[in-house]
Amino acid sequence: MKNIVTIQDMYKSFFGVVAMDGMNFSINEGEIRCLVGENGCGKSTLIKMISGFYAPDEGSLTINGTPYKRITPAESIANGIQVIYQDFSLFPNMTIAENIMMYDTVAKKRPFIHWKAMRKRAVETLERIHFQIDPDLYVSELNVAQKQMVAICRAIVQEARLLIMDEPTTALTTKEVSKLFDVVAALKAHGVSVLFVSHKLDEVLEICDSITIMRNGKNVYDSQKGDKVLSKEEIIFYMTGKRFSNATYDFRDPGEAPLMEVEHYTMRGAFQDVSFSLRKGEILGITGLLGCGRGELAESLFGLIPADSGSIRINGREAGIFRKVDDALAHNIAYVPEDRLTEGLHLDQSIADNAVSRIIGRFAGRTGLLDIKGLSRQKEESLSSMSVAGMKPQNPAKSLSGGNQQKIVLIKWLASNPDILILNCPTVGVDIGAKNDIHGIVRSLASEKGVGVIVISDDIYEIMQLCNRVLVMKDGKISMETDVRNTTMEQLETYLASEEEGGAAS
Amino acid sequence: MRERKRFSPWKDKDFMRMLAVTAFIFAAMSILRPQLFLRETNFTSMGYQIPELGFYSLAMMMVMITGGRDLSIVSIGNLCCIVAAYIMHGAVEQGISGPGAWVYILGGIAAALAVGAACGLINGLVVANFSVPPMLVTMATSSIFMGIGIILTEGKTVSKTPAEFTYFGNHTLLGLPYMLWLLILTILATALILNRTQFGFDVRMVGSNAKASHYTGINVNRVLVKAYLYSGVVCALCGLEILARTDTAKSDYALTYTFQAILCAVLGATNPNGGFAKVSCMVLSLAALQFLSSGFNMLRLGGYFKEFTWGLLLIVVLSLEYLSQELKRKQSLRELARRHQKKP
Amino acid sequence: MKRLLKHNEALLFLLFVAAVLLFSLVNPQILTLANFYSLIRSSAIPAIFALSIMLVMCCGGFDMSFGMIGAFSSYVVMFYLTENGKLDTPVLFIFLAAVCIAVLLQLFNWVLIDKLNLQPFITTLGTQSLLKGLLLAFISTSYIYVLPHQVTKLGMTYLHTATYADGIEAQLHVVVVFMAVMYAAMHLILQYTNFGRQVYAIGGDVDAARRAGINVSQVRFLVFVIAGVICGVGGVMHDAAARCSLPIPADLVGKELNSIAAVVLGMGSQKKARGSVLGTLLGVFLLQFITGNLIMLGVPSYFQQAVSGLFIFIGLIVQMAGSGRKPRRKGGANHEGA
Repeated sequence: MKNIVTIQDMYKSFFGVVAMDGMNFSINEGEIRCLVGENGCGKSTLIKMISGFYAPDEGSLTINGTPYKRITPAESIANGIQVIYQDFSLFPNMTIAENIMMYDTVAKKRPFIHWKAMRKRAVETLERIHFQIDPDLYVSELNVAQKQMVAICRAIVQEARLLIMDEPTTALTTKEVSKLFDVVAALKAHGVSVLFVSHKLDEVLEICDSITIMRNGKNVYDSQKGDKVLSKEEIIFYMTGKRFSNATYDFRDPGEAPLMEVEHYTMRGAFQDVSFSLRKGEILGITGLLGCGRGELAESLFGLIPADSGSIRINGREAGIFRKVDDALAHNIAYVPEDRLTEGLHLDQSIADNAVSRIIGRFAGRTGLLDIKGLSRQKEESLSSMSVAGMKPQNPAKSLSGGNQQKIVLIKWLASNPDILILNCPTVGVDIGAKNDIHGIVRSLASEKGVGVIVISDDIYEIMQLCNRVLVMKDGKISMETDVRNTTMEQLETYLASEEEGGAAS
Repeated sequence: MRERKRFSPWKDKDFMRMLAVTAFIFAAMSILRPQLFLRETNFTSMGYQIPELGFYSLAMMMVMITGGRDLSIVSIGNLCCIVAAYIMHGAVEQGISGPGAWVYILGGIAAALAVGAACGLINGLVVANFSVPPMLVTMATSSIFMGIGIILTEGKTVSKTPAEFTYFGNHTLLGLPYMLWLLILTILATALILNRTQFGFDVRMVGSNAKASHYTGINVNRVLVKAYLYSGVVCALCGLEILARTDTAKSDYALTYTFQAILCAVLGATNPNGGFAKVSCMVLSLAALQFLSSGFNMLRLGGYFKEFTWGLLLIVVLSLEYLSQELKRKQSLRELARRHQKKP
Repeated sequence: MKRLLKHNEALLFLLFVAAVLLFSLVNPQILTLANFYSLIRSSAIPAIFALSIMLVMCCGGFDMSFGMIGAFSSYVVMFYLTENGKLDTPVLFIFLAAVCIAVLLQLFNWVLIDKLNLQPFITTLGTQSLLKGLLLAFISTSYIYVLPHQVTKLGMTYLHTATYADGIEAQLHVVVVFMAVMYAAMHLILQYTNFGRQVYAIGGDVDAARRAGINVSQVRFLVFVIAGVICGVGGVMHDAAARCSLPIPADLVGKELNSIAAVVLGMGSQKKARGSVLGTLLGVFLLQFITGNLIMLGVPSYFQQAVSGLFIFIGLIVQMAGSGRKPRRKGGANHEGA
């Protein structure tokens, strides 16, 4: 068994944040190794170290038996290391064939392009993974799963020895994931090693030969091929260093009219005939696989994309369809978006300004001038409402960690005292401590202030922890509704996995 | 007084740096040409020269906060100037003076402001509703606005407006030219808009992240349209100022102001990527550029030399900004390394 | 037909043909060989410069100084030669000298944009102003009407002569050869070389290009060098065709928008969105044809500016609207797959 990559005692830090703190790692030929760990544990740093984008501060890196002080991206590729990034790093302005051959073209350094040979090899590679598509399509026309396949083709067109896949399944449906796994297994049969980085533990357990678990910039657990397989709970324990209780949110219905009733909400191509109601103080979870329409539902409930038909009733009063954000705001709805970096925060602006950006209009007097005193009082009040460690209000929002950034997004919305709070994947990229904080805040909002909360998430663990009722979406429709006390994580997951086949059959 | 305390310009690094630069230029020119530079007539003539660039820089700054560029400012200013000149010229043509002339003058002012607003509105609506880069939009509309000016004038110069109007372009009030007062008022209004109104807050937010602003419930398109509208109206003021001072209107007057306005805004701590601007710094950079310009005249360095200096200055300012950021980054890395060594 | 219309170049060509036919209905003189020759003559120089900015835009950059760099390099060479009475210098040396100067100036842009990571638009606007001032303040402001002999000769070289109905002659100027060679070379470079692939890759996604192992800085270096070569040759050709050398020729400096508009028109919208050599050429010819022949339609000359501005404005909106913003993800990222 030959070692492809070995890393010993590696250290690396950025701007005062230690990203890699004594990491040890190795991967053998023809091995599928999974790398798991919480967000911010140093997984992506490790990948960038191997692919040559970061030079280590200390430590040794051995690739194919050759030690390197630091490796350049070109050298890494020459050593047969290929990374498939989460965003695929494809060139939208080029065709599939051109994209597939791009790395090869760059690496071979031949000055001229032989179009026919290039196209032929691209077509051969597509055939190798049994992917049927017109190679002359532009990549900007493809969907996520197709882009993924193109990225894989591009990686294997050269004699790849190690394929690093960074969260390859986040955007795929279950069916597409199983297709991907077939491809990975075929690669393994050809002697290619795969480093599979994922936070979906079921997938990890399904595909890997061995596992490396990272926490705080170092490996805390390594298994070899043939070792005992860890259970999911054990993996979570290694990842977080904590054991979690299975307490659920205790909801007492005040017995009033529902806060929000959604009836027959339909958006063509996204979701159909969605109906549900939300009561005061309730935390309603909506989950489902990617492409089931949950994201679109969340955005349409906030008026970001208007639905085609259906209606919403707020406090028993007809409100029609929300066609723009203002419609949702008029009913005092708050929305925490999925991607806080591009949708939730103004990263360059100060934390304090971010915190009041929703309610700034309240401080405009009759003359149109802002009440500066009141505004600064509000800033202080808002920011002191949650514990945000090590923060200075005048610093830009980008100086905060993921979890604290999400708290600022929450602060921004809570300042407007919403009646209904919609959270779209609220804890993606948030470390476990801040995750618990955020869950605590949301719960107390619901139980103490009677806010109705809708949580949209693909994280079933989160749904079970946070919500009292859960809706499962399938193919744009609500296929199941249940109280969390009447179900378990396993049941939900089995249901989600099984539904795909049902969806495909229908 | 309270406001000054709150914004505390004395603690602001950008402001202090700009103040030092301005003071240095002032001192240098005073030493090099004391008998010319420090004369009262020099200050009066600088007072007459400042407003043109001042107005255009304000217009550019507002659009730059949104992350765009307005390359049509000079064309809008000239078009407004032409429209106003035509209307006011009617009074001279018919030999009307006194109160009767004021009807024409006010009509001309109103028309100029309306044209400026309309041009700004066109820019704003196109930028907000189509995903064409603002730079290209305003480059194209600049060509159109200038073309309309050429059509109106058939490429000639329009002149002769009532003396009641040009009086304001060539006389002073309390020692300062009337048009400088107009600029000062506009600057104060702009500072108020940026720092004390919801629009000022929103425009910064939109400039730093339009998508997040939309998700926060800020009406991004309305904010963009307002910013370009402001720009158009301020350009109209500039057109009126030019008319009052020179009594002529031309479709291709002073095209280099576009570049100088960008220079003045960037020098005055406006972030070219959007989201940040400081009116106080821009006022200082305006003064610095004027001192430099007047000083060059006294040193017998012509307009060409100025053009050279403006280009050089812009590149140097941008490069220094980059270098200081790099320095900061390296410093924090070094600090990190030190901390890391202590740890094990 | 539908498939053909999908190709931006075909669309532009059809638009061009339609414009020619439409215009010739009003004035049949427009559809003559002579008029075609004068169109080529007026388009060739803008086309050469458009090629330079197209290449820079292909790799995701921007340049406002290309016209000024062309004018600067040519004028400096002409000025030196006439001042020193070296009017017999071979034309090859003149081209070489101008190209060297233009390449150095474009490398100045490269340092600022690539090494210092400055905003391309504002920076190159700065370069433009800097060069303008440098030329006028420190070198010369005089117009040069007596060019080196070989340049004059080049300017009077015609391949063919045609006459309008009223007896006025129009010649096919030799500059068309330069233009054709440069366009062909650029097409080969972008389409058939490794370097060309890398330029497009950087234009598509800089980070992805770095991950692919492309040395972005090095590729950009070459891009600016080539842009400099084009500017240098274009500058000398401009002076040869104009038969004089001005420090700030009005048809080069201040008319950058026309070249940029031609590149944008030539770019496929939506999915392809990358610079196209043929598209740029067609864009230049279309713009020149419409603005240049307005007079022949009886439109007063002072309408030209507004009409060309309006045309560019509409062209930009049609071509770019919707291409920059991502389409709203309706139906999930991959609903078809489910």
